[in-house]
Amino acid sequence: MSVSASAETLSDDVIDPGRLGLWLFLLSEILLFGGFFASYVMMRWGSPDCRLGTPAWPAPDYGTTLSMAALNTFILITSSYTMVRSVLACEEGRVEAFRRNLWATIGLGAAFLAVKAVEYSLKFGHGYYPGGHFVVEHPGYAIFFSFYFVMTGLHGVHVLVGLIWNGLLLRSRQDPRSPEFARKAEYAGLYWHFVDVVWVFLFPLFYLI
Amino acid sequence: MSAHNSDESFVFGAVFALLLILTAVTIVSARFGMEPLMGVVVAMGVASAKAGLIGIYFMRLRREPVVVWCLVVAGISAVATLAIGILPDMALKLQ
Repeated sequence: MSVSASAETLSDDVIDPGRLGLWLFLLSEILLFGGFFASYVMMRWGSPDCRLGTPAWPAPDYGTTLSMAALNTFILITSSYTMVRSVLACEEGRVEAFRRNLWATIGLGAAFLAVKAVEYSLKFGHGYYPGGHFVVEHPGYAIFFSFYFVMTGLHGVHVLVGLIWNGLLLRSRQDPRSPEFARKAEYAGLYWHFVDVVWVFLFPLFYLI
Repeated sequence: MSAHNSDESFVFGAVFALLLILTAVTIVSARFGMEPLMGVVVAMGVASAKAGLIGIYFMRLRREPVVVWCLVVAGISAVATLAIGILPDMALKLQ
């Protein structure tokens, strides 16, 4: 076997340190959100006011709440699709397609946050927060609303970080056709898809059951 | 575009369609008024399937070496341990 052939074989077997580092970071994120999810499920299971298995939201506002959450699910899944198309285009050296799909991903991510902001404002208007007039009358809901704002807020921060990351990728002066840039695009994609995975679990747990 | 990448583009499109279908399934099934426990099982089952599709295809786990799979399995195992650890408490409250 020639030296170049053996080096090529070796490079196929050895993982890129950047990607390994990112997966380690994602592992820490799995543990962070996993702890929240387990605590939330235990809280809901033992709650007499908002027991797990049926939607916890008060009935008058539930239709609007579910519609907005379903819209955000559609937005985030679509953004994951545009992100993976962007990474693929980058790997193929199709710069225009890469930029177009990345812009679409950023636009969809911003739309997700906009819908979430409207949803939060409606919740505050109804007094659906710890200390709000609804919670004063129904104290059993306080812990549910606390979990709701902490977990969806933490997820929203992750979406914001993803938007900044994608924006930096768009503004990068590095050659988009270079393998190094393609790796950076892949890292941004991995993070963005993870944010989507978290929402995939948040959606049913907070809005459907 | 090479045939390989064209295939990959088609797979991504199919996975996207499947994710939307599964989202519709989970919303419709939640409106059926199932038993609470069954509702939780169905919703979490569909969510796990969606997460699996995103992980395997969009995050390209199928191409990753064993070390990355070990990290993912470690994370899922830790979360499963947390969930299983509170099962006795849940079971007692069911009675």
